[in-house]
Amino acid sequence: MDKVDCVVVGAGPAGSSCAIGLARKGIKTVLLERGREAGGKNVASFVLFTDVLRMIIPEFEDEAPLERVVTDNSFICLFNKDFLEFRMRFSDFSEKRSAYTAYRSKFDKWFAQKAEEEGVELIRGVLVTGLLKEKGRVVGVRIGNEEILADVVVGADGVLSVVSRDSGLYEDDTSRYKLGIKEVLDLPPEIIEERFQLSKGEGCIKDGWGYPLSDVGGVFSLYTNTDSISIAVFAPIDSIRQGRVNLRQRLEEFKAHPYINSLLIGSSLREYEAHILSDGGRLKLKRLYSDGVILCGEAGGFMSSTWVGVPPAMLSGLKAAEAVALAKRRGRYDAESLSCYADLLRQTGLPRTLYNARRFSNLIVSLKGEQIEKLNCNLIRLTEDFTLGEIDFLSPGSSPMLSRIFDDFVMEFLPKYLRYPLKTIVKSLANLLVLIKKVKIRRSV
Amino acid sequence: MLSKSFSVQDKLARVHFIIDKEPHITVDKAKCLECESKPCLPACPAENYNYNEEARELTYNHEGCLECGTCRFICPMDAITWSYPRGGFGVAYKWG
Repeated sequence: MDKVDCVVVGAGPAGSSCAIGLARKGIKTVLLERGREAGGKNVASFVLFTDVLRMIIPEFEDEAPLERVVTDNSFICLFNKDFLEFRMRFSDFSEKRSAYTAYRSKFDKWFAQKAEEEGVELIRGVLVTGLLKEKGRVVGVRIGNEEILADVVVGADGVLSVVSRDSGLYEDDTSRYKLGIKEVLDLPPEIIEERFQLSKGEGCIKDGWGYPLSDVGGVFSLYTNTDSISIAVFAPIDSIRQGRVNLRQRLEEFKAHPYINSLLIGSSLREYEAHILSDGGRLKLKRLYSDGVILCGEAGGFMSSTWVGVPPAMLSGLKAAEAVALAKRRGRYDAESLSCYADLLRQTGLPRTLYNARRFSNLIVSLKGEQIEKLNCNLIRLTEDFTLGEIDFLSPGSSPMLSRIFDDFVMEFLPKYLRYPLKTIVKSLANLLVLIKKVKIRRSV
Repeated sequence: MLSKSFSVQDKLARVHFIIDKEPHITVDKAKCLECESKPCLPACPAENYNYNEEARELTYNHEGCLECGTCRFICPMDAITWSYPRGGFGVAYKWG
């Protein structure tokens, strides 16, 4: 193959975003995917927050393979037999269409096709085995015995990135890794809508912690697709390495919990999946580029399971494309020329977002089982407080207890809401606190 | 209750694989003899690692690998070498 301007490794959300950005700037780009189809290797409890995608493809709703528009979001604290669920419903979510559930296997394929339509050359079924280097500078990629020469290589090849490791930019982030095991369960659309109290086409996402993962700081999720439910459990790799958790069994325990079980009745297994994910990004922006190479998406740490998932990856891909375009104008692709990437990222506020996500993730992992139980119990007491009298719930400073829930719970547990305008957050808080009175609760004696 | 409880093998039967004869996992089995904890056994979501007590041998099967990457990070003996399968091979999720 003739030399190209840019090789993007990995046709996931970051890689395709980057490739589209590059193509629109007239940069000749090859996009490489190791699966036979883009998305075929990916596992995600996938909620697509739409702001970044809307920037790239404003009319995506007409054609992207989406499942349900998210109108309901819950946080579940799970006990051995009981549970505490905070359920929020935002009717304007449906109008704003801020988030959708989707399958990565369908979405990534579609998104890579969009890149092709922009003039990107997509090659599927090829595994990049290493980088080509010349005097320490990256000059292309190796695909087994073949090679592709390029001015610059973009590593968008995920958490197990070959590009990041072979370029020397990899940082040992394994303490931030989690294993996620997921099942996709068939369930007819009408049953989903009835069971989860949704209108046609609406979807809910439920995240939570506690049983059966509280001893290792694990989390779980349960999302609705059109005719299936995705459930997943996550635990830190460290706890798995130490043999403290058999996540396969924990998934079964999770499914057998009376409440979770009641949501899954009548479903049947469609697919079983697993993948490692990184959580909460990198702090060193200078370690995202080197001579002839640049990292984006999860390869660069732009991912957070407890935050907003994929949009940071897509945004980092777009910014990597801008950085490459600026470097091209200068005619050099060395580290100095690509360093504008760090500035472009800083302007987006992404590093700060990921720093917060990292803090949040640390918090969850650092909490021991009994602390989670204690926090859960505090939440129960709090719900009692709320049933006793009127509280000015719009000024959290007015009650120490409310202050605590505001700090510990709402701001930390539901960071997804920080993506919405302040008015929405305040409104959602108000809704939340009104709902607390009606919170579904059965207390352990 | 759920209509049916599945073994891991049953679960894997619902996953599509494009099998590569060339293994992408190799294990230095001599090291496994020295390994007390063997975290790979409970860790692998596909239950691909097993230990045969009689033969004192670790067995593994690359064909059912979900490519999650876990075993790459957990082996205390550094006995497991795991890389991606060749391009186009391996797990092919339809609902990932």
